Amino acid sequence: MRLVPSLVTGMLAALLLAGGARAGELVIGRAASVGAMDPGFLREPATVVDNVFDTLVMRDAAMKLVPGLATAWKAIDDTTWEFTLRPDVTFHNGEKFTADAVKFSLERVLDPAAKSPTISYIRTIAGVDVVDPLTVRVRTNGPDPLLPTRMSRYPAYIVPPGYVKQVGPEQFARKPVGTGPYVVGEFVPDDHVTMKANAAYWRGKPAIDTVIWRAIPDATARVTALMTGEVGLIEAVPVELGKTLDDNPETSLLRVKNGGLIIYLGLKSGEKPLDDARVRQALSLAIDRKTIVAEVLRNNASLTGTQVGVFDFGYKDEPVPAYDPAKAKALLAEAGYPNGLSIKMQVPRRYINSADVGQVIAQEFAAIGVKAELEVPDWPVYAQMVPAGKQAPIYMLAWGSTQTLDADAAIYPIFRSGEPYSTYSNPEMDKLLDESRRTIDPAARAAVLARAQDLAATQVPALTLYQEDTLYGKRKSVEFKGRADARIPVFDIRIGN
Amino acid sequence: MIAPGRVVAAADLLIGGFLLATAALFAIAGPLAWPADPMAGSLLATLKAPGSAAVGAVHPLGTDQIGRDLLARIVRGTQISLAIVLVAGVLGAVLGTLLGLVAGYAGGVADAVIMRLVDIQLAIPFILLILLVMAVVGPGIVNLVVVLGVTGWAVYARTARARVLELREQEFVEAARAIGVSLPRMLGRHLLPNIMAPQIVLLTLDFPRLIVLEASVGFLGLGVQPPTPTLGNLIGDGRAFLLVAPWLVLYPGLVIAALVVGFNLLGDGLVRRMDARAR
Repeated sequence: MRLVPSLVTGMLAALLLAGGARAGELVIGRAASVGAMDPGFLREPATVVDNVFDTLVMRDAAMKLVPGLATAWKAIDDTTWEFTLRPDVTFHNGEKFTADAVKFSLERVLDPAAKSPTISYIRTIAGVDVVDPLTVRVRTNGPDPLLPTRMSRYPAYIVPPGYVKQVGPEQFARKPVGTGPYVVGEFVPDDHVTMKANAAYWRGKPAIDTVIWRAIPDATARVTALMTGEVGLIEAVPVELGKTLDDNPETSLLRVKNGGLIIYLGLKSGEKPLDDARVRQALSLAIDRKTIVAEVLRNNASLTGTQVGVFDFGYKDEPVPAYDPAKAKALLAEAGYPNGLSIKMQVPRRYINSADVGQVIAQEFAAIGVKAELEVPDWPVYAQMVPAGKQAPIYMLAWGSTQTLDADAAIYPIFRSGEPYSTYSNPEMDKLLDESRRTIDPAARAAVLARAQDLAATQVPALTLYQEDTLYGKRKSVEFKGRADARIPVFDIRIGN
Repeated sequence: MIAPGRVVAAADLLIGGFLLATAALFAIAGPLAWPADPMAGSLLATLKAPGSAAVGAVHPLGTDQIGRDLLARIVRGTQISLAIVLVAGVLGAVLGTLLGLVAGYAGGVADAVIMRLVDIQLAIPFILLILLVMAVVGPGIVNLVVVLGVTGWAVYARTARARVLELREQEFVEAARAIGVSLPRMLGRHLLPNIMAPQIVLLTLDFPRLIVLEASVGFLGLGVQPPTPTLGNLIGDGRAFLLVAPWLVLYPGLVIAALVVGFNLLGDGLVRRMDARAR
């Protein structure tokens, strides 16, 4: 009799094994669940809705801006961008995509009464004008070189005006309709979303017929689901479990280099002793970044000398900060601290092995005579302390340009004086950052951003440490490369044998 | 000749005492016998297995994720955990006994207020309280000791009060009261000596609870801050490496087990002794 349950389990397992990545069907396990699917009003990453909606401008696998629902765009003066729209595109419900849809989609997010949580991403837009059904002009408050980038990410997804007006915003968030490669079938909030391929998609019919997005919050459960074949692809694999996936013959670990945030130690440079650039430089020279990445992060990160990501517009390949404790000691003495100094340091247990990294760095600071009193704060408390300016003088944080892939988002909020996450104030830096926001010409803008990064490399407003990798796990049969902007475009995924 | 029953009766005292003496010896003499630095290590010797030699040093219990010697860390961790638990335990016992004495002897309003405080204290979940304290005043060893001590007083207050209620009616107390003994003298000289023994036994039995509590707080990362090790911190930090470096959790776990079992056996033995004497 004991045989029966094990038989049943065996059969179940066999069924499940077939389930994760059967030809034509892909189950994707994510850490976060989907609560609502209105792309203009998201309170979560756009990973799922990205497969239902399109933007005017898209990014290819190399993170270059390419035509999406717009076939071309140009700046016609300092504050006006003109987009030429793609003809013959229809929404899933048959509604035609026209310039009116663009105007409607942007204006409903910009409406202050709508209180969109993501309005800041397109706040520079002053108005949208329909020129003809396939031409639309976007006016901005001032020169905005980033407008095409803003049109490539949420909340700038294009929604069907007729349908939204007909069903209302709440129903739309439950049963969204877009122009994208997948049509939403079943949506159970906080549990799963089932999507079917859109046969009439303007880029062609997707290769995978059905996609199921499942929420599996526990990391170990997510990895186990992948190993049993219950799911075919998972997000957010913890570093410690990466090897388990690589060792399993059915699964593999996908490491996206430069996919994560850039980890840095923020420095309160408004107060002693960190107001002296030589002290900041000494601290930077005390850190052996190479060994930390190799031994503590087990190579799940890349060394970098700037807070701007490799794929960001304006990235300048700054050399990785040197490790030279002797020089660091000399600089400290020169700054008037021949006997070292004592300082507080906060490192949350938030990023890859971050508490260990904090302890190693405290040890390395001790080697040059800086006694760092380490605290590992509880994340929810710490996350409120930092923007309020209540953190320790040395504090670990991670920052990135995320989906804008532009240097502005990577450095403006943390180096411009007066920003909530900035603890640095330097008129020269402010001038460069403000200038980059006014410059339209890409080459001139890149030059300004490069100068800002040069300035950061010498003045050390923060101790840039390394950029984390992002880790995905997949069944061997799933062909997915991972993207630096953390999107999962199922349209580009294939399932082999 | 000792009767077999006597040996069994004394066995828990003996084993408990032995375990605790070993742990104390380990914590006190450890640094002398094993001078490796518990706070710093070499990144070239991370996660080395027990007994392996790396970068010119032998590591009998291996190294942790950033190359620190685990034996040295366990020795230091045992010292710190024991210190926290002893100070916090005594703090709770003194506070609770004092309040229990007052409540039991004075009665009336004082009794009502103190006993309601006991109820309130017992109703607040410990983890919530420690989260709150750490968020408001920041984590640290002193704060941890205070929270552990202050939250442990309720049990002592209850037992002290119960015993005093009984003693209050006895003749020697009445006699003392009749000759006009002051309140502090009454509590300190006449009542306290009579309730000391059970309170001490209670304290012995409370230590294992405190050890486990300190370990859970350390495990959650709310207690003593790294790089300072405690037995709980060691387990909490080692947990992520359980599959690749099980020794990081195993050895500190063994020390915790020895301490908890030791205190429990000692406490049980003392209770039995007292019962035997009472009979």
